[in-house]
Amino acid sequence: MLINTVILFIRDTLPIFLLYSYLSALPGMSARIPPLSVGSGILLAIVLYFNLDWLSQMAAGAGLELLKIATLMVALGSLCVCLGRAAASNGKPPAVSVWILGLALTAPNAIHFLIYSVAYWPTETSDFNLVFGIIIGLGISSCLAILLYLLISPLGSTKFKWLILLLFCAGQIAPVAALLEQIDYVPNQSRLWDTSRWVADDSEYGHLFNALFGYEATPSLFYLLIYVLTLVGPLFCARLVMRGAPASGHTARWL
Amino acid sequence: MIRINALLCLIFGLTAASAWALPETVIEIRNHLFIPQRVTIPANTKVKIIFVNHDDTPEEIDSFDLNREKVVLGHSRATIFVGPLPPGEYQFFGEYHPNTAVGIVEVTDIVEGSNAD
Repeated sequence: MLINTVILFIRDTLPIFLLYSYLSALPGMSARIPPLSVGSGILLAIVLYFNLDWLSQMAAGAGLELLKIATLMVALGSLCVCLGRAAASNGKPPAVSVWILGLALTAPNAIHFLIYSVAYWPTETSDFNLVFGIIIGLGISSCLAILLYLLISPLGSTKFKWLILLLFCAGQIAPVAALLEQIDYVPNQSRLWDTSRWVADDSEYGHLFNALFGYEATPSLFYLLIYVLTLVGPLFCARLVMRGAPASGHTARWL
Repeated sequence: MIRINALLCLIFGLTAASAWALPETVIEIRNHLFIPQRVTIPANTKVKIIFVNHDDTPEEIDSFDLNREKVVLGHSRATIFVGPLPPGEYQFFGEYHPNTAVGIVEVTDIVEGSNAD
């Protein structure tokens, strides 16, 4: 149970830690916004958890998937607003959009670990293993998040910081494709390629790459489409804003 | 507004009708075990798999082969749709009990051995 708790903690919460680092490294980001957005996301996950019984049975059992899809679409929308508004203000995103982005990406990840930890907390042998598993998972996730922050924070290039945030967000939002397939809202797609011989989805690197940029060993066309849309959509919004804005030095400098 | 409602009813109606027509297979979860552990479904056909969890605790069904992930709460049921798939074996497991809760979806051309009906 100890090992399983560590694995589940890292799988479910590593993206939240990485998100915290990415948001903290954004230019002109207030120190209060990342903890506020992640905290709100966890709070939302707690609220959802206590309503999970009826939520999961909604829409013929597709309630949780639809909720996650809606939350991820909100994240995509706020990412577009973030980048669009940032284009007009020298790469600095509006605090409210960043807060919504953080909230919408945190909640779908947090709810899974919440289900596990709350359900297995009271069982007889699990207390010790669960606590230690969380401590170890917390340590690993924190270390990776701090390393990531130290790597990207000193970089002067605002463009690069946004690009890696976009890659991260695309990786978080693209699983909408699998969710839609799972509840039969879109037909099952054949896989475009299979790279599981090199990096399998269930390997350590597979999990890490998945959290960093949404690595999938066997992606479908629909997955790839949403991934590209998440990358291109916000950039397109930024371009639109730049085109409409009066020519100034700062907008062109970073995008 | 009435038109929108009618359209939504039609969409949900068609979705529900297509889902009802699909072959189904039921997998029960008891004492953190999948029963049966191996299910056979026809190749190149979409199949509805219903997980019925009889345990008090939730389980998260995960399959890298099928690219599916679904939480089944305690004393509850959950549905996933798989396929159309080529013949082969597709593993799935319970995230919360990966040592005991393991199963295989066998996709075969031979319809007689199918659990899906």
